[in-house]
Amino acid sequence: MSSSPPPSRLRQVAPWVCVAGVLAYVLVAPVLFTATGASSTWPAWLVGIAAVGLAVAAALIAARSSRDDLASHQVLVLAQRRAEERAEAASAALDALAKEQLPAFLHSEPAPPLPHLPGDADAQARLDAAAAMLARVQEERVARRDAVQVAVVALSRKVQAAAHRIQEEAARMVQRHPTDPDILQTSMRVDHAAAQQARQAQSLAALCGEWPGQQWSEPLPLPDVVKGAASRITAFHRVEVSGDPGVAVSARIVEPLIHLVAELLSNATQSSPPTTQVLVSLRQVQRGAVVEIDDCGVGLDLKQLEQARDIASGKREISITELGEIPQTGLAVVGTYARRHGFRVDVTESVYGGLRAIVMIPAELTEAVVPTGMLTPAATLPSAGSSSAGVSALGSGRSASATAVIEPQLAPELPGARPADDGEWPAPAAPDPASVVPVEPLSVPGDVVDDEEETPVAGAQVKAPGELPLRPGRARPEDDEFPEPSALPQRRSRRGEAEAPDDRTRTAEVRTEAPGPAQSAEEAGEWMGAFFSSSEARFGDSSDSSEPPAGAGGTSEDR
Amino acid sequence: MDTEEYRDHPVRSYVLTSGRAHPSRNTLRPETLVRAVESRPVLSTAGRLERELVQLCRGTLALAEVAAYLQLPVSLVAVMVSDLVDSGNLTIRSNHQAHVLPGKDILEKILDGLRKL
Repeated sequence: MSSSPPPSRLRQVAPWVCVAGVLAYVLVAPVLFTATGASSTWPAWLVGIAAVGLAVAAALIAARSSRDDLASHQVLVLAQRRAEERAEAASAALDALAKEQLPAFLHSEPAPPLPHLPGDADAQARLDAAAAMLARVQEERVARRDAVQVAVVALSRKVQAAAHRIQEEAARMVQRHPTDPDILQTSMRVDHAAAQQARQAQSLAALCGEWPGQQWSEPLPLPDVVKGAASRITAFHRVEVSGDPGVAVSARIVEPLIHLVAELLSNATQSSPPTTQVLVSLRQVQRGAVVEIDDCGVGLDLKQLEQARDIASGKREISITELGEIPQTGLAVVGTYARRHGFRVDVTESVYGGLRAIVMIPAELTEAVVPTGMLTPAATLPSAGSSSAGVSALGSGRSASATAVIEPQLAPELPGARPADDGEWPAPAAPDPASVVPVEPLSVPGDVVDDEEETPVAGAQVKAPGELPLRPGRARPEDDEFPEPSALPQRRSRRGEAEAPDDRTRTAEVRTEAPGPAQSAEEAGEWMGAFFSSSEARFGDSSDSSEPPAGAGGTSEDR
Repeated sequence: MDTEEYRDHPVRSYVLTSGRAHPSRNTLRPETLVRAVESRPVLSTAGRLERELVQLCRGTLALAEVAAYLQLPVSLVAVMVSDLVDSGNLTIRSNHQAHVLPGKDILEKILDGLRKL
């Protein structure tokens, strides 16, 4: 590069020198070829030779300088290409910064690595500094968001706990005044309002990536899941459930699924006219169970539907910071649960004109229970032997939990240990015919006190030893395939043995001598029937009773 | 008083009765005896709880007993039971002979005996 200026000046001069040489030769040539005298021609010869030499020298110099020029040109082109490459790399780096890193940073996703800039240490250093700064800002941002989330979760937990306390108090109020419909009405309203509050609070926690605050210990049949979900929305009476495929969902996903369905039901009821029903149909499919929720609203346009589908299926994650000014938490919560538990959620147009939300619960999260279609009394009344299992196999969610809890509760609940404020009642099992007359005031003739003590006490004695080993078997009799009613006892006992193998002998022994608490309902009924049949026999004149003697059924079941 | 008795269930009471707290008949008392009508199948639309309730009442049970077994408030069970009575799945055992048990002659004999004292 440094050698290029002198040749270039030479090069500029050389053509002119060449031209001057040629001109000089042309001028000299006539003198040379026309003159005859040798003495006078030698200066001209000298000039001619000099001119030719000059021309040749100039041409040579020009050629060399043009060669040099070419080389320097190539160098320049190369340098230009290199500069272009660097500029391209730098602009690519800027592009990456603006189009990939910053958006990723905005959405709090992991940023792709910045492109490397070889041979440009300056720019590389600046880029590195920018990246480092970006990372620091992001860290701070994440830390701040985490802090906000932690605070939101803590607050929503408190709100939820408060709501559950309200529900508990409402339930206690009903317990204290068990016969007052007005109090039940008030309790229902309070309970309903608190349930919605709890759901909203739980939505917040779920959007912050937390587990729901509530947990259930028993699997719950699918219809009860939907009813539980309906419990948490405002317009619960508009939810119409159809179908019972005999599927329960596993205990650990009961709460997430209830919450998910509640959000879908809430959306469905809010987006359809208040006079229409929201139809929920349940069915079992090869790969699990399906809940379909149809509303009769006007639906969404295609773009909104696409968005809703992306959010509800969990494809697009929405954190609590992206909810916007009018927070739409419903679908975001649905998506959160769908992602976390593997539910498949889709939103499509409904045949009724509105939207249809479909939730598929994978088979591994479901368990089988007796479908209600098989529970008609005629089908499950074969004999007293299987009747106890029949009742316990009914043990869908509530009955399972109810029977499992009867042991501790029966003692305070049934015998005379009632609290003082409702002591006005006779004991529930009061078998005195006189006290059954509806118009009769609540008074217990003294001579039946012995009788009414008998039922609950007998039940309690029977139950006490069987409590531990029986519980698992009874609590989840629905794990196997749909049982036939007559095959229930064996199935249940197998289940019990499988769950408590070391207790096997004790379990078997206990089971033979101590029927489960479900049977004691049976027993109580039979006992009552027997009482009536004997009293009718004693008094003989039951012919005026319009209904058949109540004891007949009870005693025939003993056989 | 009843601190450990509270037990939560995902399905709340108002959903079980679609929000009704008052039974359709006012003759139901905690001690009222109810009994399933076995010849009548439960409607296919009935929920599990209704079926369970009918199942429980195959023997004669008092309303309060049913409530205890189902672990539901008596007033709530009264609503459900009265619905089931309306649909014909349960009957209330109204024991008419209780009225006529002490026949008039017996009462007169007692009265006579008392007077003789």
